[in-house]
Amino acid sequence: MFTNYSKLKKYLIFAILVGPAVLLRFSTSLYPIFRTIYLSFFDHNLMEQVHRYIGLNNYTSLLNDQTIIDVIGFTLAFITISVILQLVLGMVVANLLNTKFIGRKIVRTLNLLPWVIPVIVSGYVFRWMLNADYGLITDWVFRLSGKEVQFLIDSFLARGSLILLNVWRNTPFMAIVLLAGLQSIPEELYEAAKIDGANWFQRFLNITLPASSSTIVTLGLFNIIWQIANIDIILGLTQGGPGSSTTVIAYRIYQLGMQWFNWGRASALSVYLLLIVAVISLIALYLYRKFEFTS
Amino acid sequence: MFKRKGKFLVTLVVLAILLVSVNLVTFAADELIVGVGGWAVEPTKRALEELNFTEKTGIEVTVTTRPGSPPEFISQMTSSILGGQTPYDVIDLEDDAAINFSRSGWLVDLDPIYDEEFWADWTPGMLEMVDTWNRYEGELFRIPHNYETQYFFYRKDILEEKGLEVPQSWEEMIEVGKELTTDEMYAFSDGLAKGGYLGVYVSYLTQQAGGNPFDFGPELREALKFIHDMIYEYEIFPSSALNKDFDQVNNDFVNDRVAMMRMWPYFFDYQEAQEDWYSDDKVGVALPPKGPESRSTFVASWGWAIPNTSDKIDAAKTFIEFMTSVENAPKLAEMNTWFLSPRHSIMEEINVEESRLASNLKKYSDAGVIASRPFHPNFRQASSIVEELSSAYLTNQISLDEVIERGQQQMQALEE
Repeated sequence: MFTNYSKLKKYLIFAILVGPAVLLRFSTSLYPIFRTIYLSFFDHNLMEQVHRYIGLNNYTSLLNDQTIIDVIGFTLAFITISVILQLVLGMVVANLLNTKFIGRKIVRTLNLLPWVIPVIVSGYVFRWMLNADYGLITDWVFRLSGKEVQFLIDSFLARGSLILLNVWRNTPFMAIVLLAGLQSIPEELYEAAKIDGANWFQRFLNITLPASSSTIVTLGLFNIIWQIANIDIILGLTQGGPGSSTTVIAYRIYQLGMQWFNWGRASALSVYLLLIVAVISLIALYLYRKFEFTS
Repeated sequence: MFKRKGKFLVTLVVLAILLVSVNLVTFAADELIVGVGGWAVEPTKRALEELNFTEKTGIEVTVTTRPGSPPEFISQMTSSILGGQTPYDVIDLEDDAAINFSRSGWLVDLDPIYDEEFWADWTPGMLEMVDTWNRYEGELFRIPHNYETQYFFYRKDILEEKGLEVPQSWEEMIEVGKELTTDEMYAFSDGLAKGGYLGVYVSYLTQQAGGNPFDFGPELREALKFIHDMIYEYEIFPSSALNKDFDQVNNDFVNDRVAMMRMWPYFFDYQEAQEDWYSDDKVGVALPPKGPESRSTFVASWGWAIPNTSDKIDAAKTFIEFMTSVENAPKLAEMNTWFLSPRHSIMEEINVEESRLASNLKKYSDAGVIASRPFHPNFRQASSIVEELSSAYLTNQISLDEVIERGQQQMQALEE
């Protein structure tokens, strides 16, 4: 009896301590997910004030919309190119910051500047810098090449500008995290490799890269998820245009839900996004385990 | 141990006092919050001061800026209202947002404020606009304080210098445009950025072609082709306009980079504010060049509304009644063109010949070119569809056939 009472007390304390956290997690994460899935099966529109079950209609009508197909295509391209460039450039910057030179601490701090500027501010600033008539960058390009380039009007250049701005902003953070990984690699390994006659590229390929692989995969995974939810940079720089050429899924969900009040369709598109995130996460987790064991 | 506990308790008490005082201050601020576009803050404040609103009603008012672009403003209000709050007790609403909010049941019915005598002050054209754009299911959700049409501005001095006449049709726009365009100056321009700008020009031209842009019919095709030709074939319209809003185009006009443009009436005040540049013989206002069907130019309006999440609805109604009364409307219109409309009381009081805006409004009205704005019950999304596809075509991403095909599909999905 005493034992049972003691156990019960233990469970009770456990429930009291853990309960609020579970409740908080449920209300802020699980509930919105289930609610979104539920709404995706309804014609739920604030403007029409309707809530009518329509099965999979929201899902099929989204796939019949060529603009949405284009949006999904650009989202995948935006994420893939951004993440690859951020990781590659992040690794380059991390290696540079890992070498010994005068003023290294100041340079490491300065490196983080683009990342600490609020995203929406970066978007608006670059919108002006890339402006076809008054833009600073446009002017530089004109002086160098004699060509008037319309960065935010040509759809290809607008996409490129958006991706490069995103890379410029996030690379410093990638570099700092990768730098932390590089600093944990024992110096002796490099010295031994040097004695064995390995050049810098061989040392990078056979020591730095394997030792950083789990950091790269983890960072890559988080970065993919952050990029998927990225709308403020688009809102600031292009507002999804010209046309819908720089619209990503998250931005379209924002338009459907917050501007057009069509919550049923916005929810269905969110579920598609959830599925994309789930698939990418599974692949990344598989890679993470693989690289963890290898390294 | 006691010391640490004591410190902890003292900190808690201080925090509690701070929180309570902040709340008391918040509740004590019993002012009516009026949200208007940035350009209307000072005129509204001045109007309230000059008409002694607070003295007469005992209501303190804070006039504050609301986001100017409809998509931004709609997003702000949506999250507030769904959370049972509102950042403003009275809002100055444009057509886009008014349609969204009224259909969502978020605005207070204003009909009880007004009687027959009040409505007798309104012209039939204005009443028609009130019914289409300001009533839903019989309830008046917004009361317009202005009645804006779009004007065709041209550089009188430059046309005279080159011996050219103001174009009277789309064809003449091309001919005159070729003569006027130089390395420094384009003949025409307009705000063609997405976000509520491009849709205006496309609707304006589609209406002149005899159609409604939301139908995605041959008239829209004709209007888009006309813009595309002006930009790429005749090069009389800058392609950079595809990323410009109205303010940027106004800026181009007063910096001698554009010779002619369609613009909302706030340009009258804007040009006069450029004291070093402006003179009476520099800028003229002509009737819109005739399209394949008409010379029409549509009207839009801004008006007062009350979100039903406001906790000062009675005071808000008093404010609106005061600002729109037959007695005060003419005084307000004399103070600023932001409050100008062709209501009988205003037209009787105001000196039409002296007011550039009023005289041009009369000129347009007499010529019969003022038309209703193309309406759609889901105006914001329908406009976004028109803008997105038009922008894609005008930046050479898709063909005209694709615009029409995709547009019809998307509008059908919207109506289902």
